[in-house]
Amino acid sequence: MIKAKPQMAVLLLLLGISLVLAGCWDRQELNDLAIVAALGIDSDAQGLYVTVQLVRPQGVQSGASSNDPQNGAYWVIGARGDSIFDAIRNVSLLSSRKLFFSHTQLVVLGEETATQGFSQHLDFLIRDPEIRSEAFVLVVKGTAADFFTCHAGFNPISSFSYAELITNRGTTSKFPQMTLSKLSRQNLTPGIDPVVTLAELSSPQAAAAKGLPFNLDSGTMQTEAEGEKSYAYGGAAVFRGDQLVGELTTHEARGLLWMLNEVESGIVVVTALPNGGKVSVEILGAQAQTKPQMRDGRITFATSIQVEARLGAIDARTAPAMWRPEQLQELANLLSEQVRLETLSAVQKAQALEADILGLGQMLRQQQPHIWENVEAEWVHIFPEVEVEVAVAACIKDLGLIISILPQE
Amino acid sequence: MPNENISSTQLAMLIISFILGSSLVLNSPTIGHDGWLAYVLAIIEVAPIVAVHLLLASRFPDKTLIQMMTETWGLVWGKIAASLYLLFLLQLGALVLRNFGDFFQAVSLPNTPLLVIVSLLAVCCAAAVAAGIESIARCNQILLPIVVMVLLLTIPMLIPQYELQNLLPIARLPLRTLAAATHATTAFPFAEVVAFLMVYAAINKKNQLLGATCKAILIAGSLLTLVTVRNIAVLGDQIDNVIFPGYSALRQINLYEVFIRLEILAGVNFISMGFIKTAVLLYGTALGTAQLLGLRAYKPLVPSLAALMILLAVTGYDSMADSLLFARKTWPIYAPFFQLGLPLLTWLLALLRRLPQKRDA
Repeated sequence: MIKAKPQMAVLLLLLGISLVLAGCWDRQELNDLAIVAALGIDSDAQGLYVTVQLVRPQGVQSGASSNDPQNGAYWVIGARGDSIFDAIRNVSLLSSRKLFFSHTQLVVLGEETATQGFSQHLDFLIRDPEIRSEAFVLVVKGTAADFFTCHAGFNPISSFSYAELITNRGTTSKFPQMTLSKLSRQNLTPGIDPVVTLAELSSPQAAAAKGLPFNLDSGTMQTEAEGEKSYAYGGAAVFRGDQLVGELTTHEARGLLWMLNEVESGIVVVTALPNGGKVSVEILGAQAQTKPQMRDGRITFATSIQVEARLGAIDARTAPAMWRPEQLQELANLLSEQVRLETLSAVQKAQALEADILGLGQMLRQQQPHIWENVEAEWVHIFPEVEVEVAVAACIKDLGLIISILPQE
Repeated sequence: MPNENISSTQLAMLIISFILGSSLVLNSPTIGHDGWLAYVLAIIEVAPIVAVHLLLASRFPDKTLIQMMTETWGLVWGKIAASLYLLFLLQLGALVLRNFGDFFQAVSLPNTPLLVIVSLLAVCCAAAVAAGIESIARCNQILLPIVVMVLLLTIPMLIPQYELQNLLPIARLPLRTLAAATHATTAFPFAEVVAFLMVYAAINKKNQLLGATCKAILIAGSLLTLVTVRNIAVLGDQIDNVIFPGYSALRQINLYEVFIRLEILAGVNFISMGFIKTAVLLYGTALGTAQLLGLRAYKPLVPSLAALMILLAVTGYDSMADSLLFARKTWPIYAPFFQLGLPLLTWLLALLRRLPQKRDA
């Protein structure tokens, strides 16, 4: 009996502990939380306001997808405040549940906020442990509030669809991706300016008005239903420091991605001689390397890009059948030239905007630190003047299943 | 005093865990992307310091630093020096507890009082210390392999996030800055192994002491260098701007959307290694206090010393900023007196006074 006593005490203690441990101090019950799918930051003449897209689990289940607070899959609300944190807390004046940011996938900057500069908000977004640093950042033409009320993709919660679109961007490689942690890293690193995914209201007219060869497919997300609008990713928002200064077209954006080594796949349409027919080439992979060097007292960057591709489609009416090695070599040369032009268009745009989104300064700092230390203070003025040489070596690896759909000679 | 024995392997593992301790989560060198260099250089800087510890330990193979001090400094001065050293151990233990509490409060338990978080760890440590250094060592034989495995696993898991050019350019910084960072890294965590002058006496084969200690410092140093390289490759120059680089780096693990949100692994590492570190420090404090006061057993002291450590951890610093500033700025200047100063003085005195006297010669 006496021996059993300490064991009993331990048992009681363990039972007591299990009672206490079951509910910890900082527990957060699911039915007390409003899951924030996306956070939008806008500014207007009256100041700053944030918008959040909240998940409504009941709505997701019923399959209804709209911003209907009764049946919809999500609910968009917003509030003003003196700072982003204040504004977010003010949203709680409207939401009966506590906003929960651990599942936030998008941080959306309205055009106006981006123009004013993101760094006044970035601190909060990085400092708060609840917000995932892997959330995507994007800039919306217009306001984030509008962006949240549109329909998109497969997921009833539009922000999740837009996040998936960014994840799958490799199929076209026509826009860059940006996460909170990458943004804060670039904000801190000398010699590189951020470039962020850009979403704009897509309409066929707008795409056609731009008259760019790559721009038509930014309209593929179009739903065209009555009263429904849709945003599409096309191109990129260019920042100088923390301020939005311009944008890249999809053409220029992919040019940038070639250089940043971020092209996964995509279609390049080249015009094949002699008849000017169109040949679509599918990118299988690319590798880029940039080396800074001094030439005649000037800083020069030599970029070499290796592209592997396959023959995707031939416009049989005008282009010749292509299967002989010399024909494929010629096609590869045309592809190289096309990639080179794309890349140079990005370089020219970046230099015109005086925003080092190519990260040339960073490359210089990493590879030739002694040169960088001399030019660091002046880099903003030197960057638009530096010479960038692009050399592309492409090869066609694969023909697909047929030689041609035309009769063979 | 109970006669406890640990093997040289157990000692080496204890030292590794002790050095990893809070360094897996906190960052000491503040030189951006060259931080790993400070760890490499700190291994070199700590060598002479550890050499002094080992010279002292080999001169008094069966004694703890407290006993050595009372023997060499004379009764009064010896007790004063020993008390200072014990306060240092207590304070270091409190600092580890505080960092532990700060970390968990910042990342996952914002509303839980610091006292609760700190007490939970300290109570475990007190239980371990009451069970003796043998038990702590055996516990560590289970914990350390888990932590090392987790560490080595996170390195390939972060491959998609690596940007190795983040490490460039290497060492384009003033020598003075590099030296200061190296010294800070030596003072925290490497030279903190001075606490093991309370443990060396328990090793069963004295001739293996040198090998075990050197091996342990090299392994711990390499692991920390590797982890720092990992953190820099992921975070770049941001590494000085985040408070818990290990945590911030692990946050970015994303393998096929399946292995995500693994940052709690940093917490797991901190809990287990912080536990060993605090336990060793509490053991040293308790054993030393008992020896200082001439008690027969140290166990009755453990609960009250643990309580003191908790109180010091909670009240010693106003805020996380305060404890961080202390660890970064004050520690590198303050700690070397105890890490090198006291052992060196004791050794020199012993040398001059030809101690210990060989009685049976």
